[in-house]
Amino acid sequence: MLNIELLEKRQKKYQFRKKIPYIIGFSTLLLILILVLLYLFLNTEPLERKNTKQVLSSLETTLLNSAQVKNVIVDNPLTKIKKAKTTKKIEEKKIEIQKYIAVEEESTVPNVIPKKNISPKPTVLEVTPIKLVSPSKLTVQYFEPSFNFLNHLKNLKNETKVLKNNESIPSISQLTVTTKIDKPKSLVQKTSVVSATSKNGMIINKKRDKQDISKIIERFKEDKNPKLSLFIAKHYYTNKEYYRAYNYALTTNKLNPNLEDSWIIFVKSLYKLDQVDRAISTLQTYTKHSDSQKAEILLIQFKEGKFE
Amino acid sequence: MTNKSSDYLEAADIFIDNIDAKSFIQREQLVSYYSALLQAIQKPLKLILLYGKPGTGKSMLLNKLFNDISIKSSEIQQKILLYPTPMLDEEEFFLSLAEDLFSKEELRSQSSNYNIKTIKFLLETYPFEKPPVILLDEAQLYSTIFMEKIRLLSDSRLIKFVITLHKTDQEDLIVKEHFKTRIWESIELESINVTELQSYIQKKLMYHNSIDIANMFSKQSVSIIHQYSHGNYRNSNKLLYTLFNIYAYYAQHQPKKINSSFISKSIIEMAAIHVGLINA
Repeated sequence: MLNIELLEKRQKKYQFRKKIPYIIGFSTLLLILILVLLYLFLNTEPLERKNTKQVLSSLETTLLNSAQVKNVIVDNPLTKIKKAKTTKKIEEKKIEIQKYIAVEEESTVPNVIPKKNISPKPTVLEVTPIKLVSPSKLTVQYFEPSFNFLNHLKNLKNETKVLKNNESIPSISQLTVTTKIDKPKSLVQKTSVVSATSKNGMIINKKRDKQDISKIIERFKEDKNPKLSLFIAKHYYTNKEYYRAYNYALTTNKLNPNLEDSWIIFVKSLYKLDQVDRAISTLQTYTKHSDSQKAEILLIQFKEGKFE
Repeated sequence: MTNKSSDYLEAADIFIDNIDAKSFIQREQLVSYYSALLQAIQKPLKLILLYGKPGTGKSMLLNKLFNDISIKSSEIQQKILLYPTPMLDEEEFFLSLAEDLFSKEELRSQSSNYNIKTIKFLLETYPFEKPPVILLDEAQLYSTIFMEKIRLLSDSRLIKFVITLHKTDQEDLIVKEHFKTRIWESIELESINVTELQSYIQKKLMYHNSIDIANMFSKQSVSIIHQYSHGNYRNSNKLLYTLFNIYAYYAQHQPKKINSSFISKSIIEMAAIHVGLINA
């Protein structure tokens, strides 16, 4: 005699037992999926932030490099137009970058900034970085400098010319000579070196230096601190960019005529630019008004031709 | 009791496990085995081995053979004997064999002790036109010594033996040690596959006019039955018997629980649990 009720119960029990492996498998898969998603979610957000930072820094660098190039081609006689417009554009872009950097800094340190009417719940903080992930403005900012690069090259020349006009010591003819020494040839050479060996790690370091000095130049343009200009002059002198070193030393001397190092760099640059007589006369004038031993030793070296 | 319920009970009775030759179903594989067996008997073979896993139809085949040859026995002048269950006592076996093969008059001259020598003497004294065929089912239950005597008897070529064995380690031993050089024909019965099982079930039901119920067995439902019965006739019969009893119960008490257009997987599982094919 069949006990149907008991059989039904046993059959249901059997059905459940049959499903156990599937349930376990499905649960495991689900758990793995959740863990993977969680891992991806936790790791993706910082990456996006990093990318945003990289974009911003590259934007800044690009603009600063363009400004740097502007100084390189200072004396090219072919580039004497549209200075004012370019300067404005650069200034506007700088302001935009600063704004984005400010927003970025706010978003990366959200817990530090207390806000009166916003609850301290983390949900508020999560919104900010999402906005930064793909703003259309960022993309525009990234590409603009590249498109206008050639215009920048032409326009930036005039800005440097102002510095030249303010000089009192070198004559126009002398400046023309120095221009011939420094310019397009050397520029082309430099550019070709960078492009030819761009795969080399050493070039990356140079770029980094350029980026750093560009930042200092920007700072100097803002607050006109003679210490900064002296630093820039020293930097260019060390990198054998004597004309730039000369210009910045000259600017420093105007801002603060009591800086010994500035005068030293100034005359050394003149010397290196084959303006030996001017270097000696300038140094002699300086030593009369100061007790600088460095200047005296340097003067002797100049006279004896032992300076290297 | 409803008509449907009684129909299911009738279907259940069809699958009561028996080895009646009348219930032999003409399925393709079994027919091929049967014809091979018939041909082997016609040949001058001493021993014919029929082996396979339990429930593959060995006993059914042996019964069918016995039934068919017995009918034509006088016509073909060949005697056939079937021993479906083994006899543990040798003397009893040889006595039964002698009584089945020879008349009382022929046996009067013999002493009271019956053994292999007696049988051999009788076969030589009263020879048959065609060697009689002795069918021994479940031969794995006989002792090794007894099987050795069977081998010696068959060597006389005065008598033929058809033995069936379960495919076990023991069977392998017997085959290797005692019959390796003597068996001239061996037929292995394989387990039934899903298609054959479906054919077997449907033919059996249709043979008994249960056509509606036969149509309930789709390949899918037969596949589930095959999965639990492992292609074993005996297990399949037992499962189907229980299955139809469960259907009969539902048809009478809870008709809404069953659908008469297909066999429910749950009810197959219930039947398999009851029969012991599922451990639940």
